[in-house]
Amino acid sequence: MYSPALRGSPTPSRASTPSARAASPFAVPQSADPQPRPSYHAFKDRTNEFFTTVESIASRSSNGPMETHALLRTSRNDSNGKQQLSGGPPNSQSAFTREAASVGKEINLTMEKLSRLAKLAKRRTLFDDRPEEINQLVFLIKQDIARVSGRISSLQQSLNEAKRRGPSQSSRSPASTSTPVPLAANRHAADHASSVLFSLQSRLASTSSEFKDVLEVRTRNLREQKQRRDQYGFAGAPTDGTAGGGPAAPGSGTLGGIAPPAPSPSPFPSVASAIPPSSDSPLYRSSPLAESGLLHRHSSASARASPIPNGGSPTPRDSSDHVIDMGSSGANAPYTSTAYAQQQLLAPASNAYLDSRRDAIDSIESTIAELGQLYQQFVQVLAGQRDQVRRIDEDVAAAEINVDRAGAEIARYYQNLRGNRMLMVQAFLVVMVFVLLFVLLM
Amino acid sequence: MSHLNPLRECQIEAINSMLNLNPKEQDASGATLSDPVWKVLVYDQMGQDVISPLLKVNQLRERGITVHMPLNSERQPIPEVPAVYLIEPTSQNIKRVAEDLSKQLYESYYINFLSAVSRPLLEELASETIQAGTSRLIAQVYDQYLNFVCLEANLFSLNMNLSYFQLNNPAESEHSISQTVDKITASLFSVVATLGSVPIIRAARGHAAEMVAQKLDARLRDHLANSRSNLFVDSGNPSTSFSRPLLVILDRNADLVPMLAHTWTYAPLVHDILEMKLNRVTVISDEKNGQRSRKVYDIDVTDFFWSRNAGTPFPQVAEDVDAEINKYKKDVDEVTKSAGVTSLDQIDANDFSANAKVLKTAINQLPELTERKRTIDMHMNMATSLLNSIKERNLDFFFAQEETISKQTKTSVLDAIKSKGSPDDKMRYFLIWYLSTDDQSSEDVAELEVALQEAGCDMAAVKYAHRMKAFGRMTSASVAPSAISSSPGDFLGKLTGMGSKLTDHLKEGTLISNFGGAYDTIISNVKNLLPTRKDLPITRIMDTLLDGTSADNDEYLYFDSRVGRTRGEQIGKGNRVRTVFQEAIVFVVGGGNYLEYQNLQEYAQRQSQKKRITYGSTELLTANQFLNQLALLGQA
Repeated sequence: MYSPALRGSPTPSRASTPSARAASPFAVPQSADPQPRPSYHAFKDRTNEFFTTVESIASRSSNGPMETHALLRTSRNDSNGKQQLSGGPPNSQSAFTREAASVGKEINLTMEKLSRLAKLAKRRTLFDDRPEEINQLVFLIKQDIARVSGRISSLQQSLNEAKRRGPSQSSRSPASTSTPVPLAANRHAADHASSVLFSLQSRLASTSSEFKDVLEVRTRNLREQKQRRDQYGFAGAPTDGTAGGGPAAPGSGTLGGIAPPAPSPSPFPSVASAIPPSSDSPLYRSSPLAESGLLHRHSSASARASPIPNGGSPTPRDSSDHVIDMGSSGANAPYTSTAYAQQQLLAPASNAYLDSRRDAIDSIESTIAELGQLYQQFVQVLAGQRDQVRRIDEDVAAAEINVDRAGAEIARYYQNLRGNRMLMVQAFLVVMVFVLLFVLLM
Repeated sequence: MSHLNPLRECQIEAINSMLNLNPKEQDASGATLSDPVWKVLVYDQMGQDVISPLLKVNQLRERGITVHMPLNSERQPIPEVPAVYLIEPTSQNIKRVAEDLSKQLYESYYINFLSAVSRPLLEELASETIQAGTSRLIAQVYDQYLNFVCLEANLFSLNMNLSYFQLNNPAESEHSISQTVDKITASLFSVVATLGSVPIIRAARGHAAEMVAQKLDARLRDHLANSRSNLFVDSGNPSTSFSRPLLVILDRNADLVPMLAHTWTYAPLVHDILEMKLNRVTVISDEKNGQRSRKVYDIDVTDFFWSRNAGTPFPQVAEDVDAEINKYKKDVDEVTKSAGVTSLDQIDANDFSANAKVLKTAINQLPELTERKRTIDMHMNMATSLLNSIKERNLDFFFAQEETISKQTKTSVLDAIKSKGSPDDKMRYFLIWYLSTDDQSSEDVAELEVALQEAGCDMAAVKYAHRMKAFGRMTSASVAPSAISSSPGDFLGKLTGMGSKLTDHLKEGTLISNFGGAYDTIISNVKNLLPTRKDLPITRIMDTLLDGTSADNDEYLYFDSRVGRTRGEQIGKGNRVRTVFQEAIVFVVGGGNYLEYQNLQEYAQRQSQKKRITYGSTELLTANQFLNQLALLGQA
């Protein structure tokens, strides 16, 4: 009857026990049976035992409470379907509870995404980078966080409103209690709500700071990857067309070998933009420059798009001229190589300037981000202070009970006193009446 | 399974799972990412005592507890929230729970009893809830086996009251004594169950310890024989005894001296003088213009300073506080130096990122630093307060005297009694002397008693000590001429000439109260006063018992709940497990203190093979509390 399987899991067995037990009124001695041999563990589930006891007592106590028993059973079966969360009158959960639960769920989902992102971001491979996936995740998480924080703040607002409004909100008070409990007066419920909010907030904060960490890791990895690529590729090799602006600088240096390396390389920048494609791969470096020059001529037209601000003059003609220049020099192989070497030497000079500009911008950007994080950490530190060292047995509760009791005592004493006062007034009146009588009679 | 977790960790684990609404094994793994459930925690006094040294409020928050309330307070309804109850199984508590149910305070009820709930009580709960038709609201009923208070990794207390008095009071009825013993047994069973291993029990003969051991053995046997869900980890044949711990149950009467002794190491001092209770210390400091400020500190037993210094002598603690303060100052300076900018020259316009990084690391360090500051401040204040008391009560003098107690003569004791110091301290000193030395003449004792009376002592405790000693002489003559009764004298007498030198030194030097910068002076004055390494009797008992291979420890009863069904009988010598134990639990019936705990831990550390000794007692008593119990017994 009382099989170990029943002990195993409370929820399903609870559904089955009522039907089984209700049929047998002899459940009493049987359910009492396991008691003298208790089973011990660091913790022991007695739930089933309890419910069999309930059943047995309910069935034992004859017909009287039979209805309640039946009611009990049905409602329990009902609730079983709904995970016994809302079996009785307070059927609909309040908006707050529902909202809080769903926000919690959402944070969890975000956490999952985040851990996936972290896994992706931590990979250091050069080839299998999957930037789209990462970007997508980043975007999604960003959205999630924004949405969750929006929801939390709206929760906060509604809570504050409810606090101000006090009573009314019918859904917050169980239907069974006769009078609706005003939320403002119900300190415990308010405590509960605010600490739910607090825990949501702190979880969100930890999520977003984790997110920031992951992004940082990602940025660092990207930087490292770029460095590595730079090492193997041409210095400042652009990875795509649009990035050509900055790293294109070496191009102007390239020509500097022929033209005077003036600080204002105004006539040449257009060519500069054309050169880079040649440096895309180290292979090109060894190829005859003439050929690359020709190549430039073709590509320059298309590469024209890359914006160099001072390029009012640059025309296709210009560039081709220079390219031809280069091409002619390219015919002279030894010269070219020396020129090239010079170009290489000169390249960093002007390159450094633009690089430093870019780095400065980068660093400013990251500084801003970091400062943002600092603020957040400050907030967290402040928030963390609140509960850091409290223990549950702070005598607060005890003191409060005492204060309450004292209040009650004082009230009673006051009642007493008032009683006395009435008595005194009465006595005084009686005396006065007598005095009056006495005086009158005299 | 050869290494069990420390008791504290086991208990925290159990509470975690309880707060997690007792998940089944399989879904316990994925519990971290499950959706959060916000719960309310309701506890009675004992539940509060169990939880409060283990988890702080913010840790409870992390585990989804939003509000925590005592069972007997006025509670307002929090609808739609499950409530976790952690209560003792008493009729009163059950009535209160039923009341909560009928008031529909919460959504569902997870009831956890601190110890096994008996059948009648369970039925009471059932019938109460049936009447109100609320039994379906109860989601779980669990026995948790947590009715002991774990204070440090290897220290627990049953938090009883006046246990020594109750067990030794001749006027106490048989019934109430057996009730007390039952309670102790239940709690010890919980300890064993929480550790998850069936121990081999050794117990001192006679008195309460034997009763406890027998009952515990019977209970373990019942459990092992009958239960379906026996989840002691090492269920199996008795030969796997390597992993089994040794549970030694001793009686307080075996050795009263450590309970009264003046101590000189940090944790015992904090406990004895500042009356640490449940890892919480209240420091009353005299501030300027006589205003008293009262500060309450929680000692986190994992706090770096405490774990390092709990067993070190006080002067070294003072030294260490000083060192820590200096280290902290240095660290703070470093952080400000690296993060702060002292002049405009240092601002590098192009180096924003570097600046930000430094600032960031500084911020990251900040919480750690503040935490350290808090810890150091706390210990600093405690140490100051200790020092004041030591100075005020002349404790160093008493300590030095007691270190060499067997060398003290009547006159030196008389001098001590007539010198300055509080009556309680003098009484303690006298009792230690009286209990540790054998050959005092009755005239001497009488003379000393007169002196004590003049010093304003309550003589009730002495009366009890007389009785004790007479009884002890009787039994030690007849039954066991063992180490117990005679031991205090010889082991305390190992110190030789050092004592007098020390006391001279101390008399010259004045302790300086101002902690601010005057450590050096204090230390130079007190430095030599280091306790000699010596084992207390309990530690020495453990030493012989842990080494199960040596056979001559028959004065202790032997129980092995796994072997046979010969209840109450002694197991034949052939069947005994002969092994050197690695894990042991020492339980002292009738009160214990930090001095013994420290001593045992020190002993365990010292062993070449690492051992773990868990120390527990019915209650942790300061010397004065114990003295009060003795006095009560004297009056009885």
